[in-house]
Amino acid sequence: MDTDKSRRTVLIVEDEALIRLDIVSTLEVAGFCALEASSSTEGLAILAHHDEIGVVVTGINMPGEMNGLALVRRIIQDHPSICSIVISENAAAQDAYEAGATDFISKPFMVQTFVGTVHKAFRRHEMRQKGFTCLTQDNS
Amino acid sequence: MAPRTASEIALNLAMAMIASSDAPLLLLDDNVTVVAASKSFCRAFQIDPASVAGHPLVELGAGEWNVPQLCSLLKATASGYAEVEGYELDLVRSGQGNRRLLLNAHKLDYEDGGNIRILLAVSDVTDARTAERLKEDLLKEKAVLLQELQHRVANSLQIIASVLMQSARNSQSVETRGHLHDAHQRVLSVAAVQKQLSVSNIGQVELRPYFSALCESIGASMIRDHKQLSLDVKTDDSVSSSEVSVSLGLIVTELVINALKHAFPDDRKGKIIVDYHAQGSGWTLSVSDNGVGMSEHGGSAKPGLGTSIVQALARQLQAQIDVTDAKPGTAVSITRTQSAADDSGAKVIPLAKAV
Repeated sequence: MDTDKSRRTVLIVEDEALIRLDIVSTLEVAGFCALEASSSTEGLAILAHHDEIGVVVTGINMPGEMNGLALVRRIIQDHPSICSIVISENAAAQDAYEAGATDFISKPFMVQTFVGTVHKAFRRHEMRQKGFTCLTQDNS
Repeated sequence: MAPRTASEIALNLAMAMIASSDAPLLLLDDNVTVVAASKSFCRAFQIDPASVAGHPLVELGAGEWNVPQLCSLLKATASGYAEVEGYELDLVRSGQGNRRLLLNAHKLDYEDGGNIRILLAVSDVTDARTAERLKEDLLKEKAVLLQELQHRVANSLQIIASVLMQSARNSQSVETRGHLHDAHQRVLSVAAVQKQLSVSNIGQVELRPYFSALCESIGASMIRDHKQLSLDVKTDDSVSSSEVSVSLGLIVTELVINALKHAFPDDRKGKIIVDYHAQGSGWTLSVSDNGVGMSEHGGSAKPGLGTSIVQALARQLQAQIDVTDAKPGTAVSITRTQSAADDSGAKVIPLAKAV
């Protein structure tokens, strides 16, 4: 899977094919490079081979043993500079932040909100790469 | 036979009261030896009545009452240092199911200070505790199922919204793209109700945050310059059922989209206000703008899909539509009178103010 390394690269991990298709399309129209995976395991495999990925967008409920929240925890451990955005139903927001997600978007989401959140996540990723500590929303 | 003394008679009366008690009772001395037991105690715990009086508590039955912590508590009660209140104990009987017991023990205050007596009341709460555990498990299961349902609904709405957005992107026709964007916005309107319900503790939708989220969504999608065009919400504290909220939200969506498309041509500056107020059991929803007004933005044109949707929903809500010249602009009001509300029994409720 070749990517254009001059563009910001996002990995989308989502088992619903139509939602994944829409997210990929939205990101590509917005100028990002998008890679996709249908499970957390597949996502981790892609992350291992693509160090240009700066942001991961993941759902929570997915097939296999590892759900999206476990994926977020694993990303923090293995790829600490990568920012994770969780997309799920509204009630899952607290779980997402507790798992370490950078941001949360509730389904169904507005395109403008989604793209804005991805841009914000990339700014945070770039700061992490430079070694700056990012404050969370509540400054903790 | 010598006549009985008053104290002997009193003692006999006390023993008879204990023996006949419906509640399982034990009368113990300060060595935790059984002085008397109710028949109900012997029956409940399958103990031979003849083997009870005069025996230490720890020797009752097959030894299941030999619980060191209980004996310590009873001795402390006898010394006046403690009282046993609501103490729960698992009675372990080999070859039989365990029982969960609730114990209360008090040192009896009576004139014969030399003979300390403790009254131990035993309640078998096994079935009650099992029912409580079952209820807790069912509530947990219900919460999990509800969360799964919310996930499914959110996912389904996302899929529909995604398909519509994909179709819009792939469409070559500007008109078709517009219709598909409108349809996408209608789906988000319905989804906004689900989001409100998912955080609601009362199973109803608070209209102010709902309309605000809805208008924010429409504004983000359709207003390029928020300094040029503003979209404000003025709503009271009313709450509504999900069915009524969905209808109100779809009406707001249609009227706001209509105003955005037609009321401000040529980059005209302006404002749209969504207003909702309850009056008793009736209510009025209005969407007004300070744009070019009806005569210029197609008041006599053939009603489109949006108008048909608003009319159908207003009919369903038993509400009346009024379109007035706001000078400048247009105001569309949907009113459900108190009498219509009272006749039908369906309600929008003003939220009780917190004390």
